[in-house]
Amino acid sequence: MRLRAHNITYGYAKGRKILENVNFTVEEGEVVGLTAPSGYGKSTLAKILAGFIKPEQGEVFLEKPEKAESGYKREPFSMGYNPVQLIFQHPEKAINPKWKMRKVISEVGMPSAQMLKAAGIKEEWLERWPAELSGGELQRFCVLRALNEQTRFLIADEMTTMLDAITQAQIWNLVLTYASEHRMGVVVISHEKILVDRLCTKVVDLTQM
Amino acid sequence: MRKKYTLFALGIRKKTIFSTGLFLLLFVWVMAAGIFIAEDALMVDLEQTFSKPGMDHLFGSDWVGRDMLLRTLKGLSISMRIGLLSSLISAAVAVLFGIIGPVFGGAADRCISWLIDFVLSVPHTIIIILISLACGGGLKGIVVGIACTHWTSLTRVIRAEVLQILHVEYTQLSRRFGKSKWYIAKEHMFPHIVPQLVVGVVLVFPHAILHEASITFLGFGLPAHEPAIGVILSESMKYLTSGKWWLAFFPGLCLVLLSLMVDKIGNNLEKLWNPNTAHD
Repeated sequence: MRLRAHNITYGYAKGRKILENVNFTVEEGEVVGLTAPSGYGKSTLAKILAGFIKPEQGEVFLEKPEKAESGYKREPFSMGYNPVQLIFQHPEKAINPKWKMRKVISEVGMPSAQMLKAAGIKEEWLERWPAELSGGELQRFCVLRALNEQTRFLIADEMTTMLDAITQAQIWNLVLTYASEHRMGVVVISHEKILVDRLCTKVVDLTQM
Repeated sequence: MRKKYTLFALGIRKKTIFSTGLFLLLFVWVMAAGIFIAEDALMVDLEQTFSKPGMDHLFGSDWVGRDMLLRTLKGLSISMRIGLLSSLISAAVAVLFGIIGPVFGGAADRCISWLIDFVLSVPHTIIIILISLACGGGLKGIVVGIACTHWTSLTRVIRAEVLQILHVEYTQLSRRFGKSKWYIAKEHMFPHIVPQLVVGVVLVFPHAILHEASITFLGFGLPAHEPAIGVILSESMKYLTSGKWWLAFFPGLCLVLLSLMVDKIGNNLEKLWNPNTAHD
């Protein structure tokens, strides 16, 4: 399977396009880095890929390999679970503050005990409110929530920028292990060149497009 | 010894639950007591007119010798029923309109906003009188009248809250998780609306009682023989100048205490509901 953005154009202000005719593809199981200085539309592209905003022009689709030919077949997004999931920079905004963590994590489906352990989530955290956990602890929940069989592509928009080095390493370890086991595609958006070089098999620079 | 279990060493949360329970019990008791006071307990007794508060009549008696304590209880009960019914109905309308508007957007939202502006732009005492007359007066007329005019401000607050939550990351994520609009409204939005709702109900409650009093005073509300708190207060005005202070003092005090109590219940419920103070 392949996630493909074709000729994407988008702008916030009139007359000034932040993305113009951008093409971008991710193969399954691939880890692609996306870098550019602030204001070049990294987050915008992430939101377009995950279907949070509609591009002015162009389209995003999943392509499935066809058995007979070597070419790919387009498939539109269905109305249900979106196979492209986005993880935001601020986990406290991506979690309903009025929900206990058990409800947060099971909104998609309760992960196995093994997965909980791999993500470093303690059993007692499940009974807490989001305000009683730290940013790193909350981000583990956000990541784990998206790691299920229905997710084919994960877009990590500055996912670990706010976190300390140890938590950062643990979360990336979890995501990369899961991605290689389940052939999930990952897009890494980050300012940190070292992190991107370390994680990714391919790096795309938005300023070059 | 970190923990001591004695009666007075309860946590703040336990104290809050305890006091809320006590207040709710008192609330229900007053309401029930009013219903069970029979008509003949309020008999005219012309030998005991204007007796001062004392052992026979704790709250004194009025110009035809009726016991003011019983009248006050009965009156509070009627007023509470009016207040409770009309604030609950207007809260229900507010939740419905406040969620439907932003979630469905477009024409539905414009219609609701227009309706809010329309109702708010007409002085509501006049609408209440008209609706009350149209419904044939009495308790039903007042409740319908107040409910029809008091849902607006709460609807605005809820609409604003829902509009804001609609664009927050977690509801947008919930859409990508394949959840329906109904699920998002029920699970994501409702918990955020509850505090506004409780405050709204608590605020409308005394409003409703005061409107009931004023409409009754003008002669469009309850019949004069019903000892609603509004009727009692407006009657007592006639005798206040001749020194019959207890006719207004005790019923008035009870009304104030009742309003304070409702306010306290509202505050407590909000405190218990809010995750940031839930474990205090």
